Amino acid sequence: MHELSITHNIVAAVAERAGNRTVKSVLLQIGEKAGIDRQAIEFCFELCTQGTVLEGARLDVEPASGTELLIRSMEVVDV
Amino acid sequence: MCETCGCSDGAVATIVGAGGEHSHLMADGTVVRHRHAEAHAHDHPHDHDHPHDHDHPHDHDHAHDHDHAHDHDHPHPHPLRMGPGPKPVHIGTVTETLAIKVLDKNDRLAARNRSYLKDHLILALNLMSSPGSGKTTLLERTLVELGSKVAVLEGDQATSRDAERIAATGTKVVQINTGKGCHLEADMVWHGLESLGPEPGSVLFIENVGNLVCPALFDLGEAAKVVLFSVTEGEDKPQKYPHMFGAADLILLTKTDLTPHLDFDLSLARRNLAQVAPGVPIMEVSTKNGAGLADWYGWLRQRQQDPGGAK
Ligand SMILES: Nc1nc2c(ncn2[C@@H]2O[C@H](COP(=O)(O)OP(=O)(O)OP(=O)(O)O)[C@@H](O)[C@H]2O)c(=O)[nH]1
Ligand SMILES: [Mg+2]
Ligand SMILES: [Zn+2]
Repeated sequence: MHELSITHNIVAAVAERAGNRTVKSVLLQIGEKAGIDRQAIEFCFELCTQGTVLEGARLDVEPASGTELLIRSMEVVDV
Repeated sequence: MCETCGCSDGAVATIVGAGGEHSHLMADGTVVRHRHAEAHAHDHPHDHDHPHDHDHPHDHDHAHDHDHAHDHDHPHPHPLRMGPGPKPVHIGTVTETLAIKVLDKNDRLAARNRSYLKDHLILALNLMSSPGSGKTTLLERTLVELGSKVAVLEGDQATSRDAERIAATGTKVVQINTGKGCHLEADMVWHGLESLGPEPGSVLFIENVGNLVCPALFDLGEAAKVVLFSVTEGEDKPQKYPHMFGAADLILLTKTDLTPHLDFDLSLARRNLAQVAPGVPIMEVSTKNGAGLADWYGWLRQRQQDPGGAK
């Protein structure tokens, strides 16, 4: 299931930007033609975030019509 | 999990070279490389002193564009609530705009592969299809036809069976086991190239994991994508897997020797392909009776003239 490795990439990229801050939510944009199953990503997200600064974070997905596969933003705890 | 030792927990891919030497590519991009000389028990708790050799250029050249707007969008006015009861605990959060393309990392690593291959005049072809469409069988014949200056990277979730079949033709081959992964990624190919060491000027065949879905999404740095479609799969596959067929630079309709035994409609299959992959050349081949193979060899020889060339 390639959504697992895609989700790993997402979590790694967000964790890199977050540093040691706790991430509360992540907003993705997934296009209809991206070849990515949103539900599979949601399923993998919980798994992949365990033990990272994203653990327990909410995943929001914004639909799009093309092949978009983007991490739009992250919500981090303000310190 | 590594078949030999089970020591690859957490690895995203295992690259098995000649003589049992193998590397585990970990999720964080590090490489654990070691050899199992004999069947010694791996009961020691992961104290391999494996050289974490980061000699390869880890190009961290991605633009850290910190253009993220620190928009404090938490709309809570903090009323001064005296009275009894627990103090409201509030955690302020900030939203940072990221705009990161998820496949960007793979794309950058693929670009690195592509420039390496181009510099060494190696023609790299990414062979993709559903499981069992005839990729390895086609390679077995093709390698014999081309003779010298060929090399193969074999991608499968598990086993070295395909690599053994290729090695039997006398060709240099490295098996990449993706474990749970269902496709090859650019960094696996990079490490595969490190252990394969293809000769400059050679043709490198990369047999992807049998799967019509995600291998289409991952650029490996190849010069062209060759998609196989066997006549036993049904004429509707191009419509069902449009990403794969749409990404192809060449489509091979395989096992055509079987058509007399099937209801497979070749012209309908061609029409379906033309819909999702307009203008992409289609060749009908059979490794059983050799039909159409001359066209395929002709295409290969033409691509060899310009290994790093545009599609
Ligand atoms: N009749 C016929 N059978 C073929 C032909 N090409 C391959 N086969 C058979 O199809 C089966 C699968 O072939 P492989 O070459 O292993 O297929 P593959 O695409 O490498 O399979 P995976 O690596 O598992 O995805 C084997 O039994 C082959 O003998 C062909 O042209 N005609
Ligand atoms: Mg095969
Ligand atoms: Zn996959």
